[in-house]
Amino acid sequence: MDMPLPTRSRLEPAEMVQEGRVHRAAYVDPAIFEMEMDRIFGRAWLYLCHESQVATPGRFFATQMGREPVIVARARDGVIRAMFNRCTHRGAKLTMDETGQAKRFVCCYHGWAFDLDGKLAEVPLPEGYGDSAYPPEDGSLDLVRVPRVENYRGFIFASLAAEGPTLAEFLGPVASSFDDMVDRAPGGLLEVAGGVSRHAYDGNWKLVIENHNDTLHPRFVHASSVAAARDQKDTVHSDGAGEVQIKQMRQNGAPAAVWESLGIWASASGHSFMGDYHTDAHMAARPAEDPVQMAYGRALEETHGVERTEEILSIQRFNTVVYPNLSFMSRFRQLRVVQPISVNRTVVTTYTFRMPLAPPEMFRDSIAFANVVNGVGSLVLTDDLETYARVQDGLASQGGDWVDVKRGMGGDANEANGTLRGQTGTSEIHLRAQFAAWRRWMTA
Amino acid sequence: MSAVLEAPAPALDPALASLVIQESALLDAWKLEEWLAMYAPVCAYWVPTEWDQASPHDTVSHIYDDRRLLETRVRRFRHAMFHAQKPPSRTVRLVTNLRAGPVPNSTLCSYEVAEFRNNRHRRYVGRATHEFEADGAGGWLISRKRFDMIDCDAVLDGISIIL
Ligand code: FES
Ligand SMILES: [Fe+2]
Repeated sequence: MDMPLPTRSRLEPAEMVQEGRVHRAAYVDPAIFEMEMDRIFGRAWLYLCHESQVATPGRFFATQMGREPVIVARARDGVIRAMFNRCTHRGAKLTMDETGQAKRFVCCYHGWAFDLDGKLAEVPLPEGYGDSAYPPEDGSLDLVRVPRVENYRGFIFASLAAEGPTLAEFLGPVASSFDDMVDRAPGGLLEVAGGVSRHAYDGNWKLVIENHNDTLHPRFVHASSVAAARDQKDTVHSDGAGEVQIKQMRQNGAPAAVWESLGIWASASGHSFMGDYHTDAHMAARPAEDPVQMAYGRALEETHGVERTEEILSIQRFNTVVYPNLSFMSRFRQLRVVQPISVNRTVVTTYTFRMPLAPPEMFRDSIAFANVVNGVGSLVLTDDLETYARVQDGLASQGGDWVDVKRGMGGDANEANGTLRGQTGTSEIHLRAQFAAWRRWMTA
Repeated sequence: MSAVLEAPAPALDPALASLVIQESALLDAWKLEEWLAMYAPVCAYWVPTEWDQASPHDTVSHIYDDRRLLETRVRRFRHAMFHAQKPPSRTVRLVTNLRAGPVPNSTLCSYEVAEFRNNRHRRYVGRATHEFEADGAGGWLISRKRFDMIDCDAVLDGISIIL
């Protein structure tokens, strides 16, 4: 008798997303994963890096776009380009460094040297390649460029598709979260700093993207760190790091009414953002009358004036998800890039941003915040990662084919800014938006 | 030859050496409250993300706990909903090549934590530095433990145990 293969879908992608439910094959079928890499990661605008990471000519940054290794480099003409990290001779990866300063990219195998703009500049012992000139004048052996690169307020994105919506069209209303992040920085200046946090989990890439605006989970997933932090005596010594982290853990235990009354917004492209659930004037371990916060306020006023500064600081946003694989916290300056490895393995890389014109204490707090939210040994994150792995395990089972995403369905309301707002803060509106986008990418 | 090898090696204080061994043993025995009692009122437990990381305040860490956070970390193990410890880990630590550390009243050792949990065996390998201060009663308290893993800058899965 033929046994059905548990990871083989019997449905087409178009049928896997139905009203209020999603077929589990979207998470566990390796063939669907490959299709996602082609149709979603092969076409959507994907975040590459912040321009501070390639600030001057010769700076480069190597990353992945789905399955594709790419180099982002600023050339001598000042232009930032993205190229495939693959030698055009016989295919060796050109750089193994994640960041660096280069004059040229020289291949380790036979020494072909490429300029920062991807042009094949020099081929050693060229006469041996035959009659034709090496490097060829028509540029046919230059590095292959990623067809489209765009920059939104310092955040660099690229698309592997030559055609499609512009970055601004793609981002739509969530561009305002990037505005929030930049506007909150005095002088509009931000830079990636403080190293990187990386973590991996045994689960599909969508699980982390779905979790970041899941406001229902903290009371369950994070119950242990909420309780442990609540019971902590504040008279015990802290150098500030623990204070920031404990505050964040306690905040995860906010009453249900706080979560329910939060805003959650989603857009047609599958992006979403949530309101902020921090009742403190600022999450940092500092009350509103704190000298650091006051100095920060003054620095912002110098950039924006009093009225505009008030407006900027009144925006309350926690996580923003840019579908498919970017998630960032505009107010806390944490940016997470989700890298799918396989159908059940995912890597998340987190970058912290420094505001060079803000008081330095704020960056110190950001580092502590990064450790609790994105650190691999965090008292919080470890329970999220465990949960992703359990979901992946459960979805591999044939004990039910559908994932239910109905919470708040029917209450989604149109907003003036072009988003839909969830009925309550714990609505699963962001999941429905993500899967509507998924279905579009996968079927078009 | 490197300066480290040329300098006359200070002698390892046997009292400190036995505390390093005891610290490890308490963790393996899951006597976490007793383990915490070995630490000073102002202390740090640190697992950096960068080899030779200079500061826990300008660069992210896998773990950086001051005393207040360390107490919270230990308390969490007693909570029924610590999901990442279901099932709980079993650990065995190897402390070897134990010698005097880089600053007065410190030790340096090669350190490995073997963890078994949920059918998976993991190893955390690196060098551990322990710094001590006098407890005022003729004994010593740990003022700082730093664990530099050889794969500190690798992509790691969640770490739910104390290293
Ligand atoms: S493969 Fe790069 S030079 Fe030959
Ligand atoms: Fe969480």
